[in-house]
Amino acid sequence: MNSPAVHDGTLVADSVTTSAGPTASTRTLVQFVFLAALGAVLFNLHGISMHLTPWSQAIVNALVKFTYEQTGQDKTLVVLFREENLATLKESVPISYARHAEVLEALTVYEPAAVFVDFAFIDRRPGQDVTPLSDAICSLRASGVAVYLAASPLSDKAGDGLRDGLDRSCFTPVDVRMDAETGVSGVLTYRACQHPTSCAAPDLLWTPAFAMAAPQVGIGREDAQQMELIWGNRESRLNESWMNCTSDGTLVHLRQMLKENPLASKRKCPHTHTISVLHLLGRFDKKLKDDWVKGRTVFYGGSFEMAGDRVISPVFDDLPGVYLHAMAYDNLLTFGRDYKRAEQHGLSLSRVVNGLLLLFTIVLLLLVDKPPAFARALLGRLGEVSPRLKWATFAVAVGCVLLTAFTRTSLGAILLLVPLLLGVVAVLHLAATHPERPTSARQFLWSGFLGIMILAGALVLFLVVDARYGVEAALLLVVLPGYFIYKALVARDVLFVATTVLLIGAAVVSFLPPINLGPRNIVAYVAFFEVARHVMRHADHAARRYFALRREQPDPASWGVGAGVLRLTDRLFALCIRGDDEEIGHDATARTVA
Amino acid sequence: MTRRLGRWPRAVRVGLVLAAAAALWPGALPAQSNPPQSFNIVGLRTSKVTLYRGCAMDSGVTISREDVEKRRPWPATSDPKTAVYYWVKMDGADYCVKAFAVETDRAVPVAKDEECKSRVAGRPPKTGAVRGVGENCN
Repeated sequence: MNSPAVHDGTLVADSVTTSAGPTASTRTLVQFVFLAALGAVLFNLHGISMHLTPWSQAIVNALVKFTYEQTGQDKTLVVLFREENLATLKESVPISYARHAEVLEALTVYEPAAVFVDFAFIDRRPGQDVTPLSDAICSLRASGVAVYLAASPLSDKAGDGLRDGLDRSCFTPVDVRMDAETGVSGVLTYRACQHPTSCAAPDLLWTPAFAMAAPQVGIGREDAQQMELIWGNRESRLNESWMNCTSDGTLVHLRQMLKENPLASKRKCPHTHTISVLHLLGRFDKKLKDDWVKGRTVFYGGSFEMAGDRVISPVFDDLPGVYLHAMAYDNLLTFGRDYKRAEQHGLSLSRVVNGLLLLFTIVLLLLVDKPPAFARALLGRLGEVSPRLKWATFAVAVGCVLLTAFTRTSLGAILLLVPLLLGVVAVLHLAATHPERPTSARQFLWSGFLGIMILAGALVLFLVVDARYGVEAALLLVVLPGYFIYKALVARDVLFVATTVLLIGAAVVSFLPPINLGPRNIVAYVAFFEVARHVMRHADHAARRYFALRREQPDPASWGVGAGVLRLTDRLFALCIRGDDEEIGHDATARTVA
Repeated sequence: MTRRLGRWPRAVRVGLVLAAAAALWPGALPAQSNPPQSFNIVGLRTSKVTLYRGCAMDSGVTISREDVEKRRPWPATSDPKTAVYYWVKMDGADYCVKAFAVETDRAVPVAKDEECKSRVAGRPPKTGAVRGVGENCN
């Protein structure tokens, strides 16, 4: 072959060889690696997930509102020593031992099943005798109530770190350390003990929720893993009877949602049934005893200004710290041994599932958005499967969903995995065999009109649903379906809808037993999907433009670089091209250059 | 003009009468805040209870079920300021007793829950200090 020499001394034939470029499968593989690296950077270093972004968290809150059972709520009560009670009871912070003793005496009268005292008695207090408190704890224990006391979090103190004078045989010390907040969501994890991965060592103190719930739900020290906390947000009749639970109002919600995020407006009343010490210390109330205290587990804590014991939750305005333990206990009673895990046996299963969801998103993006020839050929063959087999598979999928929905199974995740995988295959098959059709002029106008109608309808419905059922319901029942309808009917972005549905399915699967992970940040994955799709489209567009210019100006001199650099550039741009129709263009480039 | 001025004393008189009537109308009177109720203590809900002389927490006297039994019916009154304590007389002195700990011969009405419309969740102001800093340093 006679290769014409160009003026920089290199041969055009070199460029031609390069232009033949990598095959479609190689390009897909490289694109996969690139997107995986991009995802790893965005999710880990930049932290676009921050566990749950406000929108994802708001959706989770809405789902929890309608699905979280009241098993734990019914058995939990917080007794709160409020800032305002100090003046009424002529007390000051720290509360005197005598007053704590009085509260515990009152609890004896109300006969709870267990009491956790969220006050740590660490230092000696001049002029105060601890004996009445110790006696009150012991008489509470003697009346059959299990008593748990907050241990000192100071590591340099041996044992529970509590002061002397307290009879250790009357109570169980518990570790009250709180996990760090996670992004905007607040505190979302709760340890079983001080150690993050294993509580097998018998000298490790349990946390209050685990200490009290473990015997009831059958959790052993070996099974105890860090919990992914689900902040229940059911309404409490007891709380509403005395607290000010009025929300900000519909228009304020809408404004805050648009101006900041949906978590800007949080609930004002806690999920856990609550009374104050004044309710307890006042006239004996038989109804209060029978309906709310007797046989329940009581969390006795304080809410004082400038004391620092507050917990930030994704659902409520900041709460006194005692609610964290109450919520964790509630979770343990509600989910039992299937409580949601942050970690499992030292392995961060959460990270593994996050990684799998990321890879799943990338695969969908690469194979569905613009499927290469090998994927089209492979997935096209699915159409050749006999109709009988298709219907049988569909029936199995529906059966699995029904079985999971209507029975209490510990294999929900495994059962739902079948329809999820079938859904993935169906989406891939449809994408490979039904190419996108161009939009007609009539369709364009109709889509615009439909878009405006959807926006107006969603706005009206949002106001109505928010006023009646709250902002979480409005988000779940109006904003989310509205956006889906917009994407499906106006933007005609079926890939987005399919990906989101499959990601939601995957999140449900990972939530159910035996996987038992906490809620996944679907919004972050969908956001990543959109970002990655835009990056890929821009890269594809740039590569096509590059090769068009290369055809027009094949001479390396006109690019201002040497032939070697241009060859490398050819390879790099060739990797950016998606699908396989570019093979023709590529060959054409080669021919033109030749 | 003179006739118009002549009407003033009558208008003032009518106004005064109306004002007096309004002032005497029961609804216009300031609501009495939980007036003290009288009742009897007939037993204890706990094995013993501490009475506080003058309601001072540092001057407690512990009495048993038997002591109450000897005194029953033991006249007591509610505290108009709080529902947490009742007042009793013992050996000529005034003591307060924990309301939850005693059984009474009739239900003592609570005029209004002292905690009505309280806020439990909320964002406290951010401060750069801890409660009690600098107190009793010496």
